[in-house]
Amino acid sequence: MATPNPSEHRGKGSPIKVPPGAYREVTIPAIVLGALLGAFMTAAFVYMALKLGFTLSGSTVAAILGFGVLRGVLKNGTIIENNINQTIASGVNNASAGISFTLPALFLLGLKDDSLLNFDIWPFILAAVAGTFMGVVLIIPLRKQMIEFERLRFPSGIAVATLLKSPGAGLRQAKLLFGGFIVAALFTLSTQKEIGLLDHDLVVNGLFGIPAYIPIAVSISFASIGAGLLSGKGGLPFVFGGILAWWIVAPAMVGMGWAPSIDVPDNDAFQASAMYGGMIRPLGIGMLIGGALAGVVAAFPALRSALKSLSSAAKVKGGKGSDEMSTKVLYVGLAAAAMALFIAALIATQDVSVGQAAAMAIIGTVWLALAGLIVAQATGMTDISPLSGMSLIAVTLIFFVSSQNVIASILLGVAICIGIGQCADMMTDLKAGHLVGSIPKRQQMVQFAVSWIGAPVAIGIIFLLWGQGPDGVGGFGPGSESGLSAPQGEALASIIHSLQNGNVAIEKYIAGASAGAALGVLPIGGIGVLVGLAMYLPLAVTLAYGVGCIIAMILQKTNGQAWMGSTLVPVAAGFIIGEALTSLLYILGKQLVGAA
Amino acid sequence: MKNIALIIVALGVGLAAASGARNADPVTQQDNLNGLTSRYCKAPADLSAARAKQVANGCDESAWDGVDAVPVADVSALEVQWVEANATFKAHGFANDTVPAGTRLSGWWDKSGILFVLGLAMILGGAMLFRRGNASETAGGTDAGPKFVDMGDMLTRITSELKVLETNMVQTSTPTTGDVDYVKETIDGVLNGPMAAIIDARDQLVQRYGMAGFAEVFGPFAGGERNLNRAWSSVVDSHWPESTAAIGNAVAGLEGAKAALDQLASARKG
Repeated sequence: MATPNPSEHRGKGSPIKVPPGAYREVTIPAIVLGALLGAFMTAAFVYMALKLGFTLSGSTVAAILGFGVLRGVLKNGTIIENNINQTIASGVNNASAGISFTLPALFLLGLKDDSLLNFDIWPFILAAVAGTFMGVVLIIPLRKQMIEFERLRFPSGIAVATLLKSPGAGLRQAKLLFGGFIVAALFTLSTQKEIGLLDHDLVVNGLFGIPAYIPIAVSISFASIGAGLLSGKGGLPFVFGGILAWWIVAPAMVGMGWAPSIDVPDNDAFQASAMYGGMIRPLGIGMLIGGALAGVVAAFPALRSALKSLSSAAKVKGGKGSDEMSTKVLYVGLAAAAMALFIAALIATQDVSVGQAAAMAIIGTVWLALAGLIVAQATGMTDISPLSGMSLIAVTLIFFVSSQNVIASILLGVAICIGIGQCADMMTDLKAGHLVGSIPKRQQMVQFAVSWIGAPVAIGIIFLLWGQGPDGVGGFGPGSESGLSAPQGEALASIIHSLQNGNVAIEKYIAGASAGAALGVLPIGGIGVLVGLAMYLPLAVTLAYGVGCIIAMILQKTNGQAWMGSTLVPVAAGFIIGEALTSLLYILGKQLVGAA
Repeated sequence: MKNIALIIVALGVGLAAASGARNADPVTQQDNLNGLTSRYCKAPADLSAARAKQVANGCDESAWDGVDAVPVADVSALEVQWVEANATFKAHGFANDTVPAGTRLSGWWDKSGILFVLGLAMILGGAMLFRRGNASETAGGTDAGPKFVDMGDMLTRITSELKVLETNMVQTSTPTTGDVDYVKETIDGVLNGPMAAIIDARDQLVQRYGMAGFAEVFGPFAGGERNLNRAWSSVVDSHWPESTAAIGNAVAGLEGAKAALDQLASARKG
């Protein structure tokens, strides 16, 4: 604990050894370690995504390994140098989600239509790299807006910063971090299917005979609770949105006979599923879009101010101005990446005209900017990313712009999915960087220089695994011998199949976007996005986060703000890191045991 | 007034969400058919006679692959429902058995348009009322109110404290572990105390000077905050010179924020 008067410490203790030279920040060891860790994680996480349907952020793993290598082995690593290492590693690894959620769909659709398998790897690599760069450049003005002005929490960013700062945070905070880690790790382990000591889904509907369309359920996740603890009162609109959707709107719709209904014993479960998938979730996607657009309008003066200050910073040589990246990089980078998308779309398939390729590149770029904003905002407020919903809209838009060209749609889907993910990832790392005092320009430059590596690694792994099937095809997908069912790819393939039949919930998107935009009039930052996200997600996930928010509010009232920073933040960070790391190690361990 | 406004917004969101999510009739029929198909076509596999009829009725045989059968006691009752739902939906004659976008839109609008617009109006009305409440609070609020945070005064106090810290650091030629604790704890005190209070009260700035004015203050303020964090990290890493420089940069940033705040205040008075 801090003493009441820090001056009492002055001159006491033994002399410290001041390291010679400049403070270590962007160094060769940090770059090499980050790139290597990122590439390894990309390969491993692509496999994991094909097997399980999800990936994990590599930030915490990279930060912990960074301690071991930079501080432990090389003996001279600094906190900020480790921040650069984890920024690079997670930036490279971002491609694992972007690629494995989209590209496998093309292979799976190709099983039914041979012509779809007749595509080249290079346009996909070009599009994926372009998407990576777009995600990084879009963050340039958004960093100021979201981190400095809106003060979004980015719970994972706080968790990583807490981890990075742990060498100097004192024994008490280290114990709290470790305690949180252990609690989350033990709970996560005990809920694994093979161990089965505890169930992470707490559903009480059956106990009280409450129908399934009024879910009284919490998906207990210490990462979600930790995110809620770090968000506090600011996360309440999210919880409110979920409760409104599922405890008021859903039963009202059933009561008024607006919900689908069939005469079967499990009609309530059918209604819950039909309302979620076909009614409330698409409305939530629309609301996310409308809320984000309204947010851009509301924040326009601040965004303009951010761009102005970035432009003036670029004109200042040295001094504090040089901490910010120039807006020229934003404009030139966006133009170059859009051009790369145009070329990729043109060469990927012969069926796309020059005009269509240009339209795809422009629409893809505009959508990436908006969706990147949405995903970064949602991640900043809740740590939950609506990546799949935004990618679905991307594929839908491009599908119609390209006259229903599946290869072109997935190509742009790959670029946009990577770009959107890059926005959220980069913003989380910049938040961590802000909290440890990294210079944003340097973080962004290393991200520029290295994060593209993930795209060819992930695409290469996908091609390699696909070729492992009989006759060199079918290495993954439902029923494949490898056991890699590629659930996200399969989901996107079925969506594309629906699009081919013209099945798009257009009215829900329009209604949701209008409501989200209307909510933007309320002077509460990001409320449209938060309420939309709550409708997009199952209530059980929202409630776990809400539990954290409410506990944080109570603790803040009883213990004060300073206690929150010194006690609650390390515990919550331990929760997030504990669950992420335990899940990852358990999965990898299981794969290794299975392989042996 | 703000609480009433929020209640109106909440009611509006509920109404807009319920009416916005409502399906056109053919979409509901399609959903019902899909629900029945998944149950009827995956009904218990041991009823071979029923299975043959299911296939004859158009169920895809692959529907049984790797799917847990839904236990249904009476397949024939389900069959009646399924045949009826199938006939109802197919009667529309949609290509690919899919409800076209135009039909979805017009069907939804006919059923829910008025309610949806009413919901939107409530959201907008409530939000405007909330804004008005905010504006009147700002106009009527005094600088001596209980929740008022005097940011100018706080910024002056913070910069003074940090300047003392910087001077002490510059004068320390051989820093000790105690000096490191002194720097760390002083920074922690500033970050968790007055700076956290300024951040918590940032809405006060938005209400007084708008988003652009707020950004003019918070841009340099955040730069100062980041440099304080940098000073903390570098002193933990024993890099005394970097930490001293970062404190200097933090002071410059916070002075920039104070200057911007003073300018806005004088412009407002003028």
